[in-house]
Amino acid sequence: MKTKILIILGILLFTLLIACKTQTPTEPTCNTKDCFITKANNCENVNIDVTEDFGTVNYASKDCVFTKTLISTNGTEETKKLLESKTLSCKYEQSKFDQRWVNSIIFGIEYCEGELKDRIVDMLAFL
Amino acid sequence: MKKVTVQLFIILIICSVLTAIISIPDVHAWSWDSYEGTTTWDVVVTVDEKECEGGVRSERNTLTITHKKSTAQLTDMGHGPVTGTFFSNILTIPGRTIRDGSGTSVLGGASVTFTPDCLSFYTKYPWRYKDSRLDCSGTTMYQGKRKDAKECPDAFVVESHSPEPLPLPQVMRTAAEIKNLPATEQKAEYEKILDKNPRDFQANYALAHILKDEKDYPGYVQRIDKALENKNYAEKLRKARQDEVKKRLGLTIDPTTVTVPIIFAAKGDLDKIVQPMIYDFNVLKTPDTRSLYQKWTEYLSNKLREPVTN
Repeated sequence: MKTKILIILGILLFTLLIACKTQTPTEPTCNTKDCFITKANNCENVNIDVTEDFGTVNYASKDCVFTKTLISTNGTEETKKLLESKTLSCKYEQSKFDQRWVNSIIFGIEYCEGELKDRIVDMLAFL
Repeated sequence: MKKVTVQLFIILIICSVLTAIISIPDVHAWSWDSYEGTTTWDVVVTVDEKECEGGVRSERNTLTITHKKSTAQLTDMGHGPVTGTFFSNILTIPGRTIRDGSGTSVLGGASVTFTPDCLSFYTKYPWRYKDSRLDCSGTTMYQGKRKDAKECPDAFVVESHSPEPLPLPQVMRTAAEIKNLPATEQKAEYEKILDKNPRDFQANYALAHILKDEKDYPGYVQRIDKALENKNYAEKLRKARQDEVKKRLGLTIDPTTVTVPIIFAAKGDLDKIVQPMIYDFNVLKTPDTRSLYQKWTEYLSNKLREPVTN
């Protein structure tokens, strides 16, 4: 009887722990850009990988700093090398997240810094 | 009789007034080609010998100029005294070949521009040095400040009135000369050029960057827009920027919208948007999309605002 109670208590504790872990994640995850924008706008820590037309991008926000990382892209080997793994960061104030940072390549990046921004500006010369 | 006397009196008064008007002295702008006398100048001579196994060195000298109206004799500044010719406020010194150490130097002709306040002058001329071992070229720059006075001799030249005064030719400096002037003087020079030709690419472009440094961003945008209206130069600027990027990044192939998808995406951004905003400026779309792309490149490569900080 005592063993049964202990097993039941153990199962309850395990379930409770799983439930707690699910309800209070250390870094909220999103599956959509809209979700990401909402959380980033509240300065919540969040990140998401998105497959765009030009490649795969990681969008992350932490403490009101947005970071965009180009994980992979298509193109020639030399331009891939120049662009992949490069990041740009943009500071913002709560409720003032610029949605253009995740919806376009160039709009809004004038207020950002980073190697990815520099390379994008370089590439614009070839438009 | 009385009527005739009154008429004569009126005619006499009119004649007196006209004579007085004609004899009123007129004030003309100063120019050195009308002066006779001596002036002394504190001169900084900067010699660029980088291509001749040397560096860039500067030294300070005192120069005396003996003015005989359009002719001016300059004392020895290292290569013997020289004689030049003034036209308005520009002194032209012809090129010459001189013995120079174990070789010879061919000195290019110099146009020395004197400021209208008579207090400074500037010139830069090229030279080529040759001996048994070296064959190289460089430049020498002279920047002079007046030592003997703080104004033009006889500050204003008083001349008798001439019915049709001849306009003085406008003094135009070369781009290289302007670049070496302080920013305020550069602005004045570029504005002078733009008064004559509002579409001058180099003046608009250079003025834009001076305004940017002064944080006059609307002024910068306006001048860039004006500069890029000049299609020939805009295209040259685009090519030069592409060459610079390729060299800096070590690219062997020109990136295109086909080979680099991120460029295609950027193009899509600009083509789709109706009112492209950058740094709070509405970059107006025109049928000429190339101009829009170029403006965007130009604005983005220049920091017109500080990043937002918390």
